[in-house]
Amino acid sequence: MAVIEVSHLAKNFGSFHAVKDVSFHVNEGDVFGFLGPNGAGKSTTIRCLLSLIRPTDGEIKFFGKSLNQNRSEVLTRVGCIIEKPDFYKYLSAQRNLEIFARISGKDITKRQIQEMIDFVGLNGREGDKVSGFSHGMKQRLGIAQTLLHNPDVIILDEPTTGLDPQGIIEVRNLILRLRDEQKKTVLLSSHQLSEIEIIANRMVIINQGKTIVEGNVHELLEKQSMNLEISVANPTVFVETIQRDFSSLSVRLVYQGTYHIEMEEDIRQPLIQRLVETGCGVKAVIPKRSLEDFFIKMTEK
Amino acid sequence: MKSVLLFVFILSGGFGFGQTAEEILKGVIDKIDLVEDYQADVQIKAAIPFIKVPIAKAKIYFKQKDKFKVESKGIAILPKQGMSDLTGFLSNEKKYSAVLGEAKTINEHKTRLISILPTDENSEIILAKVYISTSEDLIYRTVLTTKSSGTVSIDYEYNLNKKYGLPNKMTFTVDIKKFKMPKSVASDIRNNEKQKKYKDNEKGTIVLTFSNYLVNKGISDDVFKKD
Amino acid sequence: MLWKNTINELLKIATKIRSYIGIGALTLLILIVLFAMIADGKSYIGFVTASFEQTLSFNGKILNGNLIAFIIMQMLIVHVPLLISLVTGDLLSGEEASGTIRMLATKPISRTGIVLSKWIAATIYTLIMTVWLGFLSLFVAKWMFGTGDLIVLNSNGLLILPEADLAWRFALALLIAFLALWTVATLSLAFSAFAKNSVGPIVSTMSVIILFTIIGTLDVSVFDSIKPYMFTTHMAAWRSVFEDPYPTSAIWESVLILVAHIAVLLGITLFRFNKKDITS
Repeated sequence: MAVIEVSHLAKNFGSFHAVKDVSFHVNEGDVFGFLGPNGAGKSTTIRCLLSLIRPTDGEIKFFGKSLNQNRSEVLTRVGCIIEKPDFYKYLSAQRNLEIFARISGKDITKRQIQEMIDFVGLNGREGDKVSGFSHGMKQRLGIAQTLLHNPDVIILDEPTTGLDPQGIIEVRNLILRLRDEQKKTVLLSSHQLSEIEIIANRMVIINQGKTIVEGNVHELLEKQSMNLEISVANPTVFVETIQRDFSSLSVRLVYQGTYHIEMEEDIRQPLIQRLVETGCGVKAVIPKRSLEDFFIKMTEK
Repeated sequence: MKSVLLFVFILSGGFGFGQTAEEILKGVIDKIDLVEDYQADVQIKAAIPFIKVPIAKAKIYFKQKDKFKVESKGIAILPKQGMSDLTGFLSNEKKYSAVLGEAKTINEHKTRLISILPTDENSEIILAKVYISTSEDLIYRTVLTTKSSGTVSIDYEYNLNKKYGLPNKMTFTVDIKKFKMPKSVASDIRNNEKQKKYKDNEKGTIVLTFSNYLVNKGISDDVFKKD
Repeated sequence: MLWKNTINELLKIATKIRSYIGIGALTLLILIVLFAMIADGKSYIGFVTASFEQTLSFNGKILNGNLIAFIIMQMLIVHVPLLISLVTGDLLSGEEASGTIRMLATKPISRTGIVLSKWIAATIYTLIMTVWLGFLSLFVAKWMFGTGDLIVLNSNGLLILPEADLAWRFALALLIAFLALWTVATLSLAFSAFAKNSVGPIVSTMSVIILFTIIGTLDVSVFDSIKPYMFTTHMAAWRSVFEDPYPTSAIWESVLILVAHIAVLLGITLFRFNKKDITS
């Protein structure tokens, strides 16, 4: 069942067309990657999903119901962080959560708030004013705020921006826990493409305000050619072998002794075997197929 | 209020044409001396241009020779001249010369005018015209011309305390100079439509109605101490 | 949801330092006036009665708590709007500046609900300021200076109102003053819906008050037709309560014009905020 359906979404700011035609759907239980280069219309689309921005055209449905007509009901079941979580700096973490709990559409007890504070690892700091919090702590508090009312759908816009590696891993693990343990549906917009590749099962890529491709992450990646980066001890022999036996392949020198080769999946095994046989001294073979390549390829079109 | 006394001063003296001004005045002053002290309730009703004031109630105290006090809970407006200063002025015969003037009937009372001219150049009073009934030794009208506040006219009515020369009603008519209020201070919103046109000088009246006189019952000096 | 968010809004106001700047400044101003009256109140009274002093003597306690309350109200009606807009001008724009508007607007409360709860909170804050003004000026002044009849200075002269006739007048005056301040609060909230930080709404509110006040005092006939409809013209309507007889129809007219301003300004705020794309 589609939890989120976006059909032909468009948004104009005066004469500027921020979003021209974006469509995608997110199924129940998906961790859905929402990708696009800067200025593609990602942020505008997500703000439309959360009714921060009024679309010029198109339709947004949550749980089969129009967002426009069922705003309050829908938002009761949605939790989100848009860009960075901002709080009332002059209030404590706990007081901030109390404020948002009060208007979450659900009855949330003080105990539940405390449990959420414990869950995101802010116990002991709940009485401190947010003005003294680091970016990472605010991000955790943002996640607490997002999950406080036990939403069915979680929308995270660049949730790891500004986090240190440890913080990034924590957020990634948290999303996986939400998916696996609580069966939440997560829509995740991120510049960390590797993150999406690791944790998303479905994705959409938009560019210049339009949907470029939508589908299962692994199926999409399967369709593209497999690339390898090969380092050799004897470049002369390597070049001769390629020219003689694999002349149809596209090969490019990355740096001295290291080459980037584009190929189909079925060529990989015989190529490596042949290179070993010719004695060109294979030192390393690195698979380079990635969402990053796919993303660049798609958005360059 | 001392003015009340003043009148009392002037009360003495008959209506005889044979009397001199000094004799008529002496009669009045002698009669005043009958009153050692008195207190009375007074109702003050003022109709003064530029001032709107409700009827006020006060208590007045007098004790010879010049102790005088007004005690009011609220704000009471009284004339500045004619209340106390004239009394003191008249009691010192060396400070003025009195001239007998015309006969005049005031409110059906036959009176003689005595014009009093101060001999002291620094005196606030320039001229006091006192209309005295010589048959009753009562003052029925006083017209004071002063340096700083123009002319004050006082009419007297008597009732129960005629014998002491204490009036039961005094009507003051005073000159009020045009009242100028900076616009920034008075910021009422409908100035323009409301503002009346006043002349430079307007007449205002203050009517004092006395009641519950207690005469010569003794008043402690403490009453006159400033609070 | 509306009341829950109103509680939130009141809580935010109660925990923000700027909310106390207004109350603190108001308290300080009133204490300064009270101190000045203790030190030199007699000469102030002299200024009031000077025009009559040569002819008339004023007996009784002129410098009393009622007069001081009246003076304070008259002096502060210009300044309290600034103190109020300091808080109310920040209500929407402050959320925009801090980014919390995103958090707020993605909750199940409607945009109308957000505006109304902020407006109700602004109203309560304005009410508290008015009550505080009334308490300090009336009760504290009466405690320090005692009570008595009130001398009111009008451009036509003096009016003396008996003490027994004052309690209801002060109550009604404070109610009308509240209405005027409520209009200012709603105005700054309206500006707040158009701004991304609180400086703009505060400055705009004061600019409008100053501009309208200047237009109101200019004796130029071109403005005559709009003067009766400018809210600043009616900000001093509370003063009419201290006339005798007090002009009932004029007071009602002022009340209606102020209420109409509040309704229109609130309508503009609702329209603007409902249409607004939150892009911050």
